[in-house]
This record gives sequence, C-alpha cells and structure tokens, in this order.
Amino acid sequence: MSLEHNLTPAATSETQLIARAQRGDEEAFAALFGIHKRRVYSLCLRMTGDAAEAEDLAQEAFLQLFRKIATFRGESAFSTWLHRLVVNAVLMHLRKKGLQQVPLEDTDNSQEDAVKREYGDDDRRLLGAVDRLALGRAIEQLPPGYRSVFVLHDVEGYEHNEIAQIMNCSVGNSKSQLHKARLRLREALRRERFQAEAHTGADKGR
Amino acid sequence: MFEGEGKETAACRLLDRELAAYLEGEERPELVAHIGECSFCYSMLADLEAIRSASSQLGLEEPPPGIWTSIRASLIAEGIIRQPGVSWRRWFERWPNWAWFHNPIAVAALGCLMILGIGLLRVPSARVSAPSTASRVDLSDVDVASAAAAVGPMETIYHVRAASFEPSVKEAYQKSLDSLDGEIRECLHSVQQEPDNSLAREYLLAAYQQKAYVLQSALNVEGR
Repeated sequence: MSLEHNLTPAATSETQLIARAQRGDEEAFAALFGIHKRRVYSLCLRMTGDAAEAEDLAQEAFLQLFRKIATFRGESAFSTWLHRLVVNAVLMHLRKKGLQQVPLEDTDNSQEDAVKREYGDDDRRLLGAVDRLALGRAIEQLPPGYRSVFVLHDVEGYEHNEIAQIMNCSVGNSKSQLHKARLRLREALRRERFQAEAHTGADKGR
Repeated sequence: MFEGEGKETAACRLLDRELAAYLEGEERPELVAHIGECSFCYSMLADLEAIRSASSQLGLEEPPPGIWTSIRASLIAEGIIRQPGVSWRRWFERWPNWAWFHNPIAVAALGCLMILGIGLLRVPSARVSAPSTASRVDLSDVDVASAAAAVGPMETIYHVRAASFEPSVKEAYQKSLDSLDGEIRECLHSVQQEPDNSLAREYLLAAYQQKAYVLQSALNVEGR
C-alpha cells in the first residue's frame, strides 16, 4: 500500500518530503530538518543538560536518520522513528560517558529521595505555580538516570513499559525513578522559590 | 479545613508509599480521603501534579544555526544528497566572477586548457553518451575534458573560501573532494590505458560532475 493513503494533509506533505529525501533531494532533507529540529534539539538538551552536547547529538541523530531514510517504509510514524533514534543516540552517548542511566534497584532505599516532611513550611509549597524556566533549570540539575526517565515520561510522554525497554530496566524501576525525580524537582523548585522570596523581602526591607 | 496539622500520621506514611501509584492513575481511595484532612500531603500532591502538568507543556528550544550547514556538508560528502541535473553548468551561469568569461583572451586561455585536457585524456572525437541512470547529469554536448576544465576554477575559489569554513564543514568537504580525486585518478588511468573503454569514461564524467556539485555546494556555504 502506498504511504500516502489515509493521511492528513500535513502527514501527506511529510510523506512526500520523505519520498523526495529517499531520492536524495536536498530541499526535502532541509525541510525535514526544519520540521523536526526544535523537538530533536530540545530532547537532546533536556536529556543531557548541556547545550554543546545537545548540539552534537542533534547533528548526529539527524545524520543517522538521513543515512537510514531510504529504509523507512512508513510502518510507524516518522516522528516516532526519529524520536526513538534520538533517544537511543543520547543514551548511547551517556553510556559512553560512563554515566549510570538508571540507579540499581538495590540502591533505591536512599533516604535522600524520601518525602521530606518539614511541617510548618506550607508557605513554600508550589500550589500549581510552577515557573517553566525554573523547572527547566531544575531538570538540568537532576542526576542523569532520574533525568532520562523524567524527560522521557513527563516531558516526552513515553509509557513506563517503553522506557523500561529503551533503558533496559524494569517497569517498577522506571516508576520508582520517576517518582524520585519528581520529589527532587519539587524540593529544588521550593528551594528556589524560597530564595527568590527571601531576596524580594530583603529588597523591600531596605 | 485540615485536621491534625503538623503531625505525621499513619495515613501520611501510607501516602508516602502509595503516592507514586496514585499519580500513575491507580485507585487509592484512602489516600484521597487523607489529602482532604492533611495540608502537608495535600500540598505535596498538588505540587507533584503541577510539576507533571508543567513538564508536559515545556516549550521547545531553537538549535544553534550552524547545525544544518554541518549536516548538509556531511550528506553531500557521503553522496546522500544527490546532485540535481546540470548543477555545475548552473554554477557557471550564476557565479558573479565569470564576467571575465566574456573576455576573448580569457576564453582563448580556457580553450587552450580544454585542448590540453583533450590531449591528456585522449578522448575520441565522438561525443560521450549521456549516462544511463536518471541520477546522472545529461552532458550530451560537453565532453570529459571540458568538465575537467570547468572544475579547475571552482576548485581554486573553493580553496580560498574554505579558509573561512567551520572546521567540521571544511573537513567534510575535503574528505569528499579527496575521495572524488581518487576516483578521478583511477578513471583517468583506465581511460589512458583503454581509450575505447566507454564505461571508464562514463565513470570519469560522473566523478567530475560529482566534484563540481560538491564544489558548488561548498561555494554556497556561508563562512563563519
């Protein structure tokens, strides 16, 4: 069956671009890059927490994609295919750097990641007001293993079974790392908010 | 609103254990009942849900502008981007420095180069037939020697401009050009050994075309 059956206009357009790219058409490669560059770069940036590494990885991922594009037959969505390729490239890169992607199950009992109960500091709760820039910074500060699971699940929308498959860990481990990542982010965001408020209070007191 | 403020209860500890599952969408009625009574657990749940919601709406970042240039250079160098028809002739027409092409002396000099090229290549007087595949350029009115002569000036300008390229871009182009020069040398050798070998001449022509295309691509690259 042709790739162009039963597709939306946008998808048809992308399908046409893919077909042209498979024939080596430079404009089609440029257009596909333009469509997906921000998503690919953002994913690389969030998973590595480093702009220079993200640039290299995005470039490498697109090169891998374009080298393999002749083999793309449309069984899955192009964006899904590209996304998986980018995630694999990033994880491979992190493994080469020797960074542990998912902490071992038997190290999960760390008190550091338990819920911190500091009664009486309710004024520091976030209550729905999450600053996105602060959140982006807090994600960058997560340990690589927590960051990968968090980005894949909460930012990119992967399911735990997919993450477990990609990262070669159990579903339970993926869930556990995600929860710990969220708790760490909450602490980081509350801390930042507290510091910002203290700073504002000090300015007003002058 | 909340009862038992400031005291950790068994229900709070239950929340610690079950919160992850609840956020995954699993039913936990006892947890729901508890968060209506405990301000700490209520704010914990509200915060984590807010983080989850904000994370799914994070904006996308714009990559640095040089990425496409590097990718394009590599794709051309690897032959993944294929040459469009008569590209090297288009380059001839577009390049602004070709004003000298209207100068009779310059044209005569180029003609001498072409004759020299013809002599070196021992190209028969018959025109080289166009390559059979669609990806090759139709050069029915141009022989191998004129293709070789056309590439020369492009290469000279390339060497001047390549000094301002990003190192990765320059490396990708140079790798491609070195590879094509190797192919050209091999084909020239074959043509000189066997002047009637039309296949070797066809490959030689294709190598010159590819080299012209790579050079054209490089000359369109913006410097640093």
